[in-house]
Amino acid sequence: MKNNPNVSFLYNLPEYKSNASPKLLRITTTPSYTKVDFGYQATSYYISGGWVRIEKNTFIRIVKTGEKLIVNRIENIPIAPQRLDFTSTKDWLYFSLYFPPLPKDIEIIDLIEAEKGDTKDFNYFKIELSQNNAIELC
Amino acid sequence: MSLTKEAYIRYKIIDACISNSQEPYPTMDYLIDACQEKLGHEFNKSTIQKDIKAMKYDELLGFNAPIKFSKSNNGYYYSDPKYSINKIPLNTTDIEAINSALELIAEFKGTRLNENINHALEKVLTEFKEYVPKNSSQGKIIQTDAPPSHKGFEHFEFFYNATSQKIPVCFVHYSYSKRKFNSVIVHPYMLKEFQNHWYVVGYSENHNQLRTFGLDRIYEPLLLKKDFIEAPTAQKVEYFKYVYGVYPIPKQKRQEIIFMVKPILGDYLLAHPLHETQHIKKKESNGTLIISLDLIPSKELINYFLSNANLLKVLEPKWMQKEVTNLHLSAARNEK
Repeated sequence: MKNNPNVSFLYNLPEYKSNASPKLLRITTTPSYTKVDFGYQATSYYISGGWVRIEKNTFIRIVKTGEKLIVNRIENIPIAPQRLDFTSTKDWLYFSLYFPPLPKDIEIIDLIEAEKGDTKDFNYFKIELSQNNAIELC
Repeated sequence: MSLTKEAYIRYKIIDACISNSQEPYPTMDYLIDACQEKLGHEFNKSTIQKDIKAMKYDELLGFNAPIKFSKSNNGYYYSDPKYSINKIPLNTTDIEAINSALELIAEFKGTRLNENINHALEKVLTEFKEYVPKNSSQGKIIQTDAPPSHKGFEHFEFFYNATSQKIPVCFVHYSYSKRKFNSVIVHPYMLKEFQNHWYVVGYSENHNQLRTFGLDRIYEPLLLKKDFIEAPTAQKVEYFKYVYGVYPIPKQKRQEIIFMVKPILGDYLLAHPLHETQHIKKKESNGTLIISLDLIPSKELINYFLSNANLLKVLEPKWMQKEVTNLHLSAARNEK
C-alpha cells in the first residue's frame, strides 16, 4: 500500500517526543509533496512568550541514505531573519513546512533546522514513518 | 427575482405546455410565447432550448423529463404521457413553513450547505407555486443571535459530510485549557451547537473514548481511509441526550442534580427548562423552587450555576455543591 506512488498517507505522531519546542504533530506524504505540521506554545521562560522563526534551509534527512530534502514552502511562520514576537506567554502558533515527496520505502527520517544546533533549534531525530503508522488519506 | 428562480418558473411553464392535452405538441415558438406572456419579458430560442435540455439531463434538477420532438407534429411531447414535473403537493402553510426555514438557514452564512439547501427548497417551492414572495416588503423578520462569523465554522461542511458518510478524520486540535496541541483521529458522530459555538462529538482514538472538540480549535481536518468505529448506541445516547452543554465532566455518571432557585430565576426556568429532564420537586410558599435534573454533570452546567449564584443554591450532589462553592471563593480571591 505504502509503495503506491499515487496514494497519500498520514502519519499521526501523538507519541513522538523531542527536545525541540514546537510539537511535531503529523506528517502527510503525497505524490507531490511532504508536509509536516507543528504546534508551538509560547513559553513562560520569556516575559512575553519569546519569538519564533524558521531557517530557510531546513531539511528532511533520510537516515538510511543521508539524502536531504530542502524545505520548499513555509506556512504560517516567518523565515529567518524575520521573526514572530509573541505578545504573551499564552500565545500559540500552528505552522507547516513542505518538502519534496519522500522516496518510497522510507522508514526513518530526521528533520533538521540547524545541523550543529542546540535545543532552541527545531531539530527532530528518528521520526518513524513505518507501514504500521501509515493511514491512507481519502 | 434570481435567474435560478426564473429558470424554474420557465420549466414549470414548459411542463404545463407539453402536458396540456388540449393543445398537444407545442412548437418552440409556442413555448417562447408562453414564457414571455407569463414572465413579461422576451426570451430567445436558445434559452428555451437550454431549458429543455436541463429538464431532460440536468442531474441537480433531477427532473429527467422524457421530452421528445415529433417531426410529424412539429412539436414537443412527453414519451411518458403521465409525466409532469409538478408532482409535489404543497399547501400555503407548507410554503410558509419552508420560507421560514429558508430564512433561518440564511443565518448560516458562508457555506455551500446553505446554497445547496436553498437550491433544493426553491425547486420544491417553484414546482408548486410560480412565485413565492420573500417578505421583501417587510424586511428581515427573524433574527438569531448567531454572530456574523466565527472561527472554525469553515469546517462545518467538512464535518457534516464526514459525520453523515461515517468517515474517520484527523485534525490538529489546540486545547484552550491545557494550552497544548494534539493531532487526533476521531470518528465523528454528531455536530452540536451550544450557545452559538459548534462542536464535533466523536470517538477519539487518541483518548479511547467519546470526546467533544470545538470547531474553533481545529486546524486542517483530513478524511481518512480506514474503518469507521461506532460507539455503543447506549453510550452515545447518554452522551448526546443527558448532557447540558458539550463537555461532560470526566468519570462522572448520569445522576440526579438538585438545586434551589429564587422565584425570579424559577419563572425563567419554568418557561425555558434547562433540559428535558428538568423536574420541579417542590414549590415553597414564597415561590422558591426545588428543581432536579437527571444528567451527566458538565462544565457548562457548573458555569450556569456559577453565573446565577445569587439566585440559586446547589443542594445535591454534595461534590458539586462543594465545587461551586470553591469556584466562588476562588473568584472572590481573584485567583488565576
